[in-house]
Amino acid sequence: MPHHDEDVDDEDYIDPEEELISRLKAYKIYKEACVNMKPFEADASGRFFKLPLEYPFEIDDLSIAGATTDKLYTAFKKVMARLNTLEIEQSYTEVAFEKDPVTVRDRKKYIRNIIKKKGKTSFDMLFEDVYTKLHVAITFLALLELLHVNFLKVEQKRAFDIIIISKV
Amino acid sequence: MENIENAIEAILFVAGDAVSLSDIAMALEESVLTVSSTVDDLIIRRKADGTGIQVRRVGDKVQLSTNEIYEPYIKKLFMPENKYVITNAAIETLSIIAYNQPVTRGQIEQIRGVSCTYSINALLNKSLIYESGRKETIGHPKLYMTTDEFLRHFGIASVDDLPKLDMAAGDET
Repeated sequence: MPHHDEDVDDEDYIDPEEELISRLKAYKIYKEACVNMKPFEADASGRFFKLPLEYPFEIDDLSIAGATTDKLYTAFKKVMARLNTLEIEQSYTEVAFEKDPVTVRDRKKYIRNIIKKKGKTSFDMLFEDVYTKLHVAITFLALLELLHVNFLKVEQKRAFDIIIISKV
Repeated sequence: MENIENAIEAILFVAGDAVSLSDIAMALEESVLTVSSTVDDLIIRRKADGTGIQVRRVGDKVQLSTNEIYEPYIKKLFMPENKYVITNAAIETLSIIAYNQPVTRGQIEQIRGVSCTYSINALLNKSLIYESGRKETIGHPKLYMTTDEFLRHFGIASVDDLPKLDMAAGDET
């Protein structure tokens, strides 16, 4: 094996000892800085700040017309996420195939009935009795169809507020 | 405008949180410069009078706080929980971030020589630091910076108010 002389011609060569020393020096600088920061922390510990006042904001009624499907899709994803956790919690020991899975028509009827009885309902309420993804999807489709035929209208007063579904 | 100083105090009282100078300037229809110098006057006056409520700068924001000399009475009456403690490891990490921000975890570990994942998470949980973005380099590592909560915790108006790094400290053995 040819002997490699480290001192010769290698500009990038960093002596590990020097590197270690410079790192230790840098570390010591920050260690010192911590000591100097401590008194600031101690001085400030006796100060208290108050929370913002809670006062009602004046809210303009927002109509989400135009952005309806986007908002609905977000809400749909939220319901699906809830179902995911529900499904994980349930352990399946047996699998049953239902003879007549729920149809869009059934769900349309269901939504219509709720609206007729109560006049309006919230988006989340529509999915209260729903426990499978298929059921959610079908309910959502039924809702979209009812919107499409102008039977329903969808309103949200402000961002993140509940979505209210009522008769046109 | 009746009195800008009084108006600023009223705004800060309602806000509770730190309010930016530009927001105050917009509300008062004054220039940021005017608001900034008025805030300075307010800070000096309240400090000189030793009032129970003091005005403090938190970065480019302003906030009301109690005067620390009245801490014993507040503690006696309300018995607030002691403020959280920052461990030595976390404060080392915090000082490296404060003096070098924005920094990556790699850069912090380079100086400390140990893994900093735990202390970074602890600081994130206490809202003393936040992820300010990602570095344009291989792997796009996250960048960390200190928050307003950091300034409040150490009672300083900006990171420039921290004591200067003692570069000679490293030379002593």
